Amino acid sequence: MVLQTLDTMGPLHGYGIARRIEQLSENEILLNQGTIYAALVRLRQRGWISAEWGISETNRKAKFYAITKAGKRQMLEHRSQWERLIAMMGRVLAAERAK
Amino acid sequence: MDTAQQLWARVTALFERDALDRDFDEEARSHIDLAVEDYLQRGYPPGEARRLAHVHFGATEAAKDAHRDSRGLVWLDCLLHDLRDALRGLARDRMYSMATIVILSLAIGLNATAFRVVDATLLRGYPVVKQNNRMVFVDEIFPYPGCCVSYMDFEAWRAQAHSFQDLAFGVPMAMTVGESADQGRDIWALAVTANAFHALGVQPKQGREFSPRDEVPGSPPVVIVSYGYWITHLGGRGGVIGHSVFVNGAPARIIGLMPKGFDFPGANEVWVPVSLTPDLHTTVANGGYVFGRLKDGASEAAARAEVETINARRAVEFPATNRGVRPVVTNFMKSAAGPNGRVIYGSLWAGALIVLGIACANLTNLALARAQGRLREISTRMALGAGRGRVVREWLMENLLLAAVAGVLGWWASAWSIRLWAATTVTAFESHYYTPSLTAAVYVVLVTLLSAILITAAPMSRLGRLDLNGALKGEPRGGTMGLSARRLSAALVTGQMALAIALMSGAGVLGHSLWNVLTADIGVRSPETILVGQVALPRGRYPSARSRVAFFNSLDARLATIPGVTSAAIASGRPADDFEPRPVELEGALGSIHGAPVFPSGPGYFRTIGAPILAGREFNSTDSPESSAVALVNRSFAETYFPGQNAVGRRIRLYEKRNPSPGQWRTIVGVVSNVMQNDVFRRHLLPVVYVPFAQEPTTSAWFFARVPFISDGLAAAVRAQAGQVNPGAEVTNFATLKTSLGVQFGKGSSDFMGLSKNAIVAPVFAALALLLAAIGLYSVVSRSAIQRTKEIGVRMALGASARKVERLMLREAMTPIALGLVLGLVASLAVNRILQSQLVGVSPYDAPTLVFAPVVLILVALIASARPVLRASRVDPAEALRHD
Repeated sequence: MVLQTLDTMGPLHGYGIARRIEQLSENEILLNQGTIYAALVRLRQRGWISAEWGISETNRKAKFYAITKAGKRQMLEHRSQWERLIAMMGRVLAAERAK
Repeated sequence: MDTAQQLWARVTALFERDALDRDFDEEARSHIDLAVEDYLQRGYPPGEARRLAHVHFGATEAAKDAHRDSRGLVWLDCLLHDLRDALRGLARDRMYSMATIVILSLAIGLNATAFRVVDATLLRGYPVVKQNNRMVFVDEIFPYPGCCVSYMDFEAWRAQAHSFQDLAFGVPMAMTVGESADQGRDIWALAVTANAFHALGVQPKQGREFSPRDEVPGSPPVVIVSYGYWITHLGGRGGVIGHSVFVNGAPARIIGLMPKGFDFPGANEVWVPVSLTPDLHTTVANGGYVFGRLKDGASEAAARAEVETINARRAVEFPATNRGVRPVVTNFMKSAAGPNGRVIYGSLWAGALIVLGIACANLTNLALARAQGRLREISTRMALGAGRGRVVREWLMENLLLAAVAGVLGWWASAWSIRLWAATTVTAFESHYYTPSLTAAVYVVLVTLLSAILITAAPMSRLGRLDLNGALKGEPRGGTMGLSARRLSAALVTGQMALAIALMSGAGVLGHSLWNVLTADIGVRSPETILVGQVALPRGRYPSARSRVAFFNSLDARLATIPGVTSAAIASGRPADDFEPRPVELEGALGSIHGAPVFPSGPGYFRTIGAPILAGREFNSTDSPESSAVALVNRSFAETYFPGQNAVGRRIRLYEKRNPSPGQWRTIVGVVSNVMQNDVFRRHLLPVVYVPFAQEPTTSAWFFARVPFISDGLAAAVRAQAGQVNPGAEVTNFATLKTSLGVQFGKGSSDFMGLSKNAIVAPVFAALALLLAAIGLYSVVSRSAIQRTKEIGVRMALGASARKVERLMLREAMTPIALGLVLGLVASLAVNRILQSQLVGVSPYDAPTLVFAPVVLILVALIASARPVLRASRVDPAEALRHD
């Protein structure tokens, strides 16, 4: 989800990512925003995202995260997996309903 | 799954902990700021915006922890933390740390040494040889004395047996090998069939193996040299292949250099091809070895059955020579360490383990004392919520650290001690056999871990029973480590004492055996005033028997002229030395062949060593190669083979090792009192035949010079005269006969030396064990005295006398010792039975040992407990009652 966000929105800071996820999920996922950093550090250690200190649109110092090439590859791979899963679930549920 | 990259990132994160924490703090701050701004923009009032931002962020510390968890390795982080704590804890307790390191490194060093010996002798087989456990020796036992295998039988096995991938033959040959024609050393070289190295699975490091062409008589002489020979005698220089060394005065081309460490069948320096001369093709035993590699899938039992079948067939075919010849198949692993290897080296290892056991018991007591001392700290921490696991982990970490230091020290020390052991080794096991191996390293690591766990276990198992309340209040009895810990201490003292007794009695019976060997009456009068030395003649310079006789005659004559020398003689060996038994046939009883050592000795030999002639005469200068063949026999021979008759005047004839036809008849001209030969343990006076040295001269001989008393001047004169006969012939092993036959760290028989070595090492182990046990006892008694100061004070205030207190304390100290004594004595009977094969004239229930060991132990125990007991009884009651 984080990768997807970074891919569509471009480099973002932690707060931005958290807000974006909340918005996308229509506030269904209301996470403790602080915990997102644990996920970010893991993604970064795997080399899927990069981080850099920069200045926000409101002129504040903030750390910006951006997706890397490896991250993109990972995301596409996962996306196809998710899509397959969703398609499968859809078929299963449709069959249930047809009964 | 973590990738390597991620793992690396996690590990590095540990070391940038502070920087990363700061970075996170900053990021969290910026996050809140951004959030606040966002809420403000959305129209929330400032206070509410800040509150919402914080609420949404959640607990900062929790986020920080999650951050740390995911970026680093939690367990490693904790480990590093524990390590730091352990180091601090140990630095506080320097005495404990030092004591543990010293005691453990002694015990581990001893174990490392013993195990490396066991590894080299029992576990590895012959060095460099490939897959020792697939290699076997095939020997033959003959109905008459002779050694070891008939070449003809070997050829039959090689042609007919299917169990062997390769079957090779080798025979040791005495040769003079040198770098020039007129100098050289007498060594045993192994003459082998061309397939020998292939069978052993060893390739020359340089050059080539022997080829079947090298075996043909008359082909140009070639040799293969060992790595050791190359280093010592050829200077280790390159390009030696194709050069020549001189074998028995004639040049032989070096065609191969064997890899480092290879010296099959033990301490061998030079290999030559066996020459397929007609005299090999006899059915008489010719002193060789047959060894072979089993085919894949072929079992030792199958090989044995095959060889037995072939021999049975041959016994029918050649009844004259092969009837009753029994083949024996022995695995290399078994033969490498010698027949008693398991007992000799196994007991060494067991001794080391016992010392380790005592050391651990001792350190457990020390750890208990330390736990007692830190009771309040531990209880405080546990009261504040530290889990038992956490406390145990910390202690284990401390002890692991100490054990690791001790393990490294012990391993390092074993490098020195193994050299000492190897230097004093007289068996075929040379120092290069003891190269460190992975097995030995793993063993040391295991021993180290085990000891750390052992010394942590006892104090930590008591944590569960800790009464925190009482301990915190500082009541001495509150922390109930008191009574049960004291019982445990007593049990540990008992165990230490029992182990010490077992070691001491083992050392006792071995020492007693060695004493018996050294003081055995071998039939020589006052050997301390006989000077002896060995002279070996280079074969190249003294090729004929005549020239050797001439040399030794002149040596004999020169020694006799030295003022002070009352009698001098030459002989091919010393009393108690081993001579190869040879078949002896008695006249009038043809076909009855007996085995006896045959000892060539010169005129005056028996007079010089002080063995009286019981009948007939001694050899004299008229017994020459030209005169009629004569012999002397000892009393045991005369009584065994001519019972109730006069042996003088009877005739015997001897067989040569490789010759099926007998030698000439020899007339027995005298009977001499028994002088011991051929029994390394010096128990039996066997029948011996003596022949005149002039009639059977050897290339190396001993001289004997009896003097009224030993003085430096006389010894120097004898040595100088012996050396002056011919500068080319060197005098070696110069000493008095008594010293010469004592415990010597030179070449000798493996069994006797195995015994002497263990007999020397065992008391060292026992002394160490006793010392450790005494230290343990001392610390336990003195700790108990200190803990009970108050109680003693009360007793004394109520009227107990100092003597009564002493008695009480002593009784308490002596109870575990008495128990240990009984247990130890029972154990030592078992130990001594295992050692039985090594005992000489000593029963496993050797009374002096079984009395001596407990007495020494009790004395040591009394000395160890005297000081703390006395100190306890001198307590001032008034002072003691105030004692905290």
